[in-house]
Amino acid sequence: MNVIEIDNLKFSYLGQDETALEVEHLSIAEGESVLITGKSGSGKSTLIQCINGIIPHVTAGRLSGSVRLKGEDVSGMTVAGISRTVGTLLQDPERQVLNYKVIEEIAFGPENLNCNRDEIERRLHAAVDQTGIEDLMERDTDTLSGGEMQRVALTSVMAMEPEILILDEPTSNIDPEGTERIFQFLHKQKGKKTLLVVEHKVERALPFVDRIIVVDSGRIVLDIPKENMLEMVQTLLDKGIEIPEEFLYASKLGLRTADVETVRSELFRAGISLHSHARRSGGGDILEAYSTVRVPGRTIVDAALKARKGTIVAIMGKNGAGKSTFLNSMLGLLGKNEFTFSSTIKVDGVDISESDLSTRGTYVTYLPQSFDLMLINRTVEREVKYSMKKRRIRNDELLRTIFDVFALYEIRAADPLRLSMGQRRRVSMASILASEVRIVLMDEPTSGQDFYHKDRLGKELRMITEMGYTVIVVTHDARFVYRYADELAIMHDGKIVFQGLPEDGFEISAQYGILPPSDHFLRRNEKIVESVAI
Amino acid sequence: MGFNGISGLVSEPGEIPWELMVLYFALALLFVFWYGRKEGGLSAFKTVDYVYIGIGAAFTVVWEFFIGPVLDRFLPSAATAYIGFGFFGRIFIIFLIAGLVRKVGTGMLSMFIFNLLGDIFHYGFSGEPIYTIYETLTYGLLVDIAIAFTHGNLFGIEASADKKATVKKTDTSKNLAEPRMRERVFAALHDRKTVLGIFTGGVLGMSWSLPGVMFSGFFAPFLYGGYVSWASILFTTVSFIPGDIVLGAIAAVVAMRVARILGQ
Amino acid sequence: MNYIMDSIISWFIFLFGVAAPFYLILGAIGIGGFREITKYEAHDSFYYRLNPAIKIVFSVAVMIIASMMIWWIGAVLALGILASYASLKNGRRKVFIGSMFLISIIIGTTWSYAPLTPPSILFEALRSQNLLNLWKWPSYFAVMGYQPYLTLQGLIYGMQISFRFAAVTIAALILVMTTTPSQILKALHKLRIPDPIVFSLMVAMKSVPMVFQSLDASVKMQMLRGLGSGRRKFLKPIFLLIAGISAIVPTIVHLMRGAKDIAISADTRGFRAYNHRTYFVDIPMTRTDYYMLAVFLAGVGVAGIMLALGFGRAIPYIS
Repeated sequence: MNVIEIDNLKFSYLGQDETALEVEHLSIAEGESVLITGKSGSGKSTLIQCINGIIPHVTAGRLSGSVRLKGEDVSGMTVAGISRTVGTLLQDPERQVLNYKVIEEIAFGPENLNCNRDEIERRLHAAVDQTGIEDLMERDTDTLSGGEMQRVALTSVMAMEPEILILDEPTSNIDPEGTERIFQFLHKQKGKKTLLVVEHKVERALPFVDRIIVVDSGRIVLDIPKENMLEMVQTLLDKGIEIPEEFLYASKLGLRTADVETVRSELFRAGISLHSHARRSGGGDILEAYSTVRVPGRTIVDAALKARKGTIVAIMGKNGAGKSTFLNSMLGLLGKNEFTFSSTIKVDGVDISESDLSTRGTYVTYLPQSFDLMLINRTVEREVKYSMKKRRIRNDELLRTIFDVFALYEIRAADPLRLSMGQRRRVSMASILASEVRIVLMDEPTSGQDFYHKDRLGKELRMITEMGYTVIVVTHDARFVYRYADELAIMHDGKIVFQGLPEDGFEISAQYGILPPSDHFLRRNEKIVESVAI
Repeated sequence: MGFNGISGLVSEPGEIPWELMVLYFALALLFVFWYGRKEGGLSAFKTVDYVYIGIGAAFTVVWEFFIGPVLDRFLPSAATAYIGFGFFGRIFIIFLIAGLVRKVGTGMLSMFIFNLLGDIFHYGFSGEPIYTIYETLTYGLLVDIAIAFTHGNLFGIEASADKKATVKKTDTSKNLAEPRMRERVFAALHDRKTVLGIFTGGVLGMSWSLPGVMFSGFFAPFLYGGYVSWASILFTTVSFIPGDIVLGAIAAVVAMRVARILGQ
Repeated sequence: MNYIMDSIISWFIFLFGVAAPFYLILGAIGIGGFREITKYEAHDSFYYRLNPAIKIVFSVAVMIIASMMIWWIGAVLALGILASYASLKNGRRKVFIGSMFLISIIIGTTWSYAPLTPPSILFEALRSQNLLNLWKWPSYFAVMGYQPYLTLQGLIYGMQISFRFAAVTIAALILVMTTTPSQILKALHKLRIPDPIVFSLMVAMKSVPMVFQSLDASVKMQMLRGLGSGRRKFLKPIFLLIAGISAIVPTIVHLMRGAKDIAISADTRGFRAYNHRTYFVDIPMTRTDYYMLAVFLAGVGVAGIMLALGFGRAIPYIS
């Protein structure tokens, strides 16, 4: 029996002529698990919002055709009514979790359905049993990590006891541990509920899906059983979807499996050797940082890091390892009231440990996760020039180079806050670089980005390091690190336990909760073939 | 003394006659119920509208009770604790939220929630429910009248505004010289909608100077006792009209910008 | 020459009232300090165990007593409640922030009233016909509503009034610091405030610390990007102010961008499915709550009796 039936669906957002989504026919059977993928802005979210009723009930626009849930047309139902059948988990847990206590968050849905205490309690226990968050029940929601918060949000959706579960990029903004727990949950739910999962990490979703749907430019361009995926690898790549290398080589070698070890041995047998990524040794040491940070009762950071000129150093570590705190201590952004700290930060031999923010900013600069907060000017051009103006620097050549690298000429008169997320990120990057500062610190710039934008970011970082900048980047994305970083620093329990080549780091990273990317396994034990000195 | 810190005095020297006040609030309530029945009242509000109003109220509280009082010290006429920079912040945020939601009732709902929040964070529910009634049916109502008058296109912001940001591409020449401020302002003023929005903001800002007369002329003595100085009321009101007009106009411009950014 | 000197000194005095609270708040507490005293942090002590409704009654009682009684009762209340901040989470720090906040309220309010209050009000409020002139303002200060003289009695009157505000503000913050937003909202729900409005308040209460946090981050980013670079240290608060104003639009946009997700999160969990909703976690009234209710009501009663016996005195406001 089909629980979702879509026919001749066409939708355009209010005030826009172009069609955001057009689906001739789509049906999803009860108990089916479907992966919906596509690059950012392809129409994936529009599709699922047509199913959970957000379109047309919350987001207005021109809608034609029909979406039926168990035979009933969505446009004739209320969102609250639909929520009894369809549960929706969104990308950003911080925006979804509304209540102060975890228990209140889980009870929120059943309370809205006017359930009595006994019924709420029953639903609460049933949901918690399925998601395994018993240890979080007494916590306040604002003390949870991103991954924990997402599991709480998932539990609160499960407490609605939906038959269909929609997850819209549920792991894009959370740490690897949280990601793993969400995937484990989905694995257990396979066959029990109808699952619609929007996800960029195709290979992670494969174990629990039956079918893959690719959305591109508002249309379903591919709808295949997962068994046929290897045959369609090139099409997926062409549509901007991140496909791990083993799938690519498995497809090329005509294998029926993408298991990393099998692909690796088949490559060896075929005499194909993969090129390692270039790691640059850079110039001399430009940054030496040592910080200790304490909160009452414990030391949360006791770490030292060095970086060489013109290199990308990636810091990885489990959630709570102290990565962002370490970064903030280098920048002087830690609050004296919350933390006790001491640090020695030397840039090119100059000790800036005691400098105030504006002085420190002449040596190190920073791209925060919420980069929107730094966009204070009315045009892109003024935003990028801000630092130079405030520091009374004139360097037209640098400005021109930065406008070129980040492709900003076309949008220079635009309001920075009106741009797309990718463009805003580029404007923010440009504006922190246009001040002659030489060290850039970045906190989770890969979070929530799709393959295309991560790839672009990696290439931009490579370009700016070639201009002489040094980049320290905190990220959870092992593949990004493997492809673009020159060095990997692993942080564990507040300490840097490893700093060196990513190849060496990923040999030991698993013991610190960092899963190496499959790219690394495919090249294991190979020597670095290229080393570029600056 | 009286209930909840309210003196309840209605015949202090110079005080506005209470009959006039009762008449005003009765008429205001009648208008609210009549219009609510006609237009569907709160049922027209979506959950996202309540979210906008909630976030706006949070911002207003931060500004009016924590940042505003600091800035108020710069104001020579900060003669009462209720008017000043903090109040400008209120104009700014409430107008901005009204520009985003644009449904009749936004003004009153915003003032109601802002008052409750103010009680939680600052006033400790003293003087209630008088404050809430007064502010909701004066400042809030004025905003709603403006929304009704502009048929939901407050500050020239229309529902059919671009849903998502579309950026006009400019020339791709690599000249980085910026247009001068004068040229930018001139270009903005050539846009009819912008001018209309600024005008509406200014008029609404001016209208927000008026409830202060009602407060000082009736509610201050009613709540706290004391005499009414009409010279002081006139001075305060007149001295604040230009500021309120300017702030209203600025708020309209910012509301237009934020509405465009958020695709509202 | 004297006229110029007088003007300079007058502006200096005027600016003291402007700058002192400003420096205290932005210099000593910072935006982060505001966040600390407007945010709930889990802890277990007396205030945390009280029913939120009782804490609301507490604020109201403080307001009534402070407004009815002679000024020093308000002062004692303000200082006493401030001292009780020590029992909160990170008590010493909260007492410090509260003290700075209190001093800034006193200086700020005193300066708002002292130069503006006409002698007739001072005669009535302080029951004294003798005013001690401390400073003569230049005549053009009258444009700002200033009286010709700054008097000692004006300063005293301003300070007395400041304690009325101070006591209630210091008391009201206890509710916010010791009660989870959901507890407060449940109390309001019991007062039959409609659920969508309670929901809006829930969003607002969740957003208040986020507003401070986002403003703080935006301000720091501006500093890091060179705002105030190479300027003297004493100008720092001025640049903080400039940065704070510039931070408003990005902060609003940052918070509002999440509004649709918040709404979707609520709607897809059945929000507004019915006109009423149930509440799973209840907030019961304990014996301590009833005792404290009795204490607060008794406090108001005693204040009323003292007022009737002529021990209290409300300070008239100038309108």
